Amino acid sequence: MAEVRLHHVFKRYGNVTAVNDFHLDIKDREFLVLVGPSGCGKSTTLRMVAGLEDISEGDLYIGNRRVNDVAPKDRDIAMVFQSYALYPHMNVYENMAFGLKLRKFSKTEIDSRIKETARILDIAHLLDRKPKALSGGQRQRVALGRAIVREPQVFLMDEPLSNLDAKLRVQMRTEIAKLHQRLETTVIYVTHDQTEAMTMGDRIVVMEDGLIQQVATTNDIYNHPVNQFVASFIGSPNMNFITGRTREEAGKVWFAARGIDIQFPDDQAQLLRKNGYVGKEITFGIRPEDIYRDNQFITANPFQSVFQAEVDVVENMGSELYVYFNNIGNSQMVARVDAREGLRPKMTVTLGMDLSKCHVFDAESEIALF
Amino acid sequence: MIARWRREIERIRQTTSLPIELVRCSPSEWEAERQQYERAGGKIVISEVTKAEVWFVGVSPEAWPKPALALLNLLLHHEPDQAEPDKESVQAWLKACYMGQTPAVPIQLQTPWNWVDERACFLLERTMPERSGHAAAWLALLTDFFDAGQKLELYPLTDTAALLLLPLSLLSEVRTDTDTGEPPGQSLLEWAAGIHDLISTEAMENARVFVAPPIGQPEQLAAALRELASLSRAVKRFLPKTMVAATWQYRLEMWAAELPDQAAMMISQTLPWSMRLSAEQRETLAALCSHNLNISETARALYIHRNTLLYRLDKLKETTGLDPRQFSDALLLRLALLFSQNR
Repeated sequence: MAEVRLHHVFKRYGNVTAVNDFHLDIKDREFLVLVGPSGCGKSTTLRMVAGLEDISEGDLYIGNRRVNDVAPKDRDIAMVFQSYALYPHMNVYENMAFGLKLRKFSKTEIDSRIKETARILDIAHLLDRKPKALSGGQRQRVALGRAIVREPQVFLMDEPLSNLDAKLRVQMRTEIAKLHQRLETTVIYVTHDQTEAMTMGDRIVVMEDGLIQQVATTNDIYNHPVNQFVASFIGSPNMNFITGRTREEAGKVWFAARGIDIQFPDDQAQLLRKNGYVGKEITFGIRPEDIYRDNQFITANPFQSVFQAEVDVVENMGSELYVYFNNIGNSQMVARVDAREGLRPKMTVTLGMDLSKCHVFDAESEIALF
Repeated sequence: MIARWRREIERIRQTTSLPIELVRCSPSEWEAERQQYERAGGKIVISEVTKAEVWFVGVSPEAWPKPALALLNLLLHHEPDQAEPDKESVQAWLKACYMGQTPAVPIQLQTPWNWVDERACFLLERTMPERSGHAAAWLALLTDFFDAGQKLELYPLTDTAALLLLPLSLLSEVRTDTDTGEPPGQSLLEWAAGIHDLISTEAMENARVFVAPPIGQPEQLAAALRELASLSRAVKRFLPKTMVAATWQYRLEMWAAELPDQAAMMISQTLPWSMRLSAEQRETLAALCSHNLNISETARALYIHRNTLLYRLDKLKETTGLDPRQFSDALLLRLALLFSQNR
């Protein structure tokens, strides 16, 4: 069993708290992703699990063992870093064997593990090459291979794809995900890239300023962000936010801001009333893909959510357009529409929002109401 | 030993007529005698220092052909069982150099060490001072890594730092820079990265690894170590995420780190541009400077299109009034970025 449990873990540097009350149980064989902006504490958390940073307060368990004071090399973990030089004078086989030799494994066992790992990683044909003769992706696989041959309880990966170009990153994401399914080992993966987080993790931990903002599956993080930070961090392009005011009119709840006046569906209106948000300022959130240009949607629109947008910039992504407009609310907004709509800058277009997918956040605390 | 030298010198004189002498002096006169001899153009081939007296063999190098001088070295130098300089004395001296002092080379260390090979110098600094006992563990790990036997020397300097000296012959697997036309020291930097990787992966420790150009004489150790210490200070101050670095990479940062705080503060106040830069602009500028203002290489390093980079540089020019493609403007921006870290 390779559960990892962090119980009310803190990391302090003098007066600065880098990790603040990190409390989480990571299940055996789970692929857990820690994601957040630079400086949010995700790498520090990972390093505490590895033993590369001391824990200021709290307890860390790997399996059933409390490991706060256990040396990193005795925690039965393997770490894959962002930068991996490999050992320049050793070939791939020797690079993977070195750690096992240090640990006094037999030659037979070493050979068996390396050959199996090389087969899994598709690097069997590279075993006699030196690191200089390897591409970036091949080196990455060897670095992974060095970790895999140890057969640890837990893999810790600290932004291992950050030094690769975009195309290779996409390829390696898939490889690592497949590897996890094959090895069935617990993985804790740190990244600042929300696309990596969304595509790889069983669960995602979004962090900011040392605090856990939300722990959830990909779907829940995306569709039910608990606050504005999570909503803005996850999703590309970012969620649109409009600050405005609600009002009650003829039994319906409306939201008004510059350039827009929309009516909430009844269930959302009820939530707003119940929580005292009618007649108050709120932050309205809507994802770009939930804004439609499609005439059929607008005509059949069950929602009172149609508005006029003055197109500022259009980015053509091939099958879709990212349409930027500045005349709504107090900041630039973006809609994702079908490329066949043929929208261009300086056009004024009618758009509609799917309000079943909208979000409302408290204007001060930024916590999500829905 | 001295008797043997006397015999060999006599044979050399009789056989070759080349000028060679065996000189004796007191330990208190040794330093002055050595300096005077070298100022007069002489070369001390070997010396033996005891409590009571100092003996040295000296030649006039211009009278000796190089091959003959090399043979003389081989003839006179100690056998392997000769006592090496006292390791504790070496360590104490190196520690003083690392801490910024400039101690004279102690008498016990002036016996030439048996350096046939140049030495690569690496400074290893762990980032977690609360863990102790690193030197012995590192020595075992490094010895296995290089399959070095006794050739590897590791001198603890403080609880967190150690100096690693490696004969260049142990690094011969990597192609030499002169053969390949790669930037000077690139091979050594790769070795430094390999050592960092080793400590991270096998010892599961976080340590910075710094490298200096190779040295041929023990007397050069002090200067090499001081440079490495200066690099360490610069990296901690300006490049805290950097874990592997060479002294020839960050000369500007090393210079800035040595400035008195007041001077650094005054300089930063005269360079206001960094306050207006976004994180992306800072990253772009740093990449441009580290690639010698080369647009294509900078774009590649940032994984962006060349035109995107040019657009960013135009924006930088709009924001600051300085053109990062011009060296003098780039220098000002570079200094602004550097000294903004003092605010």
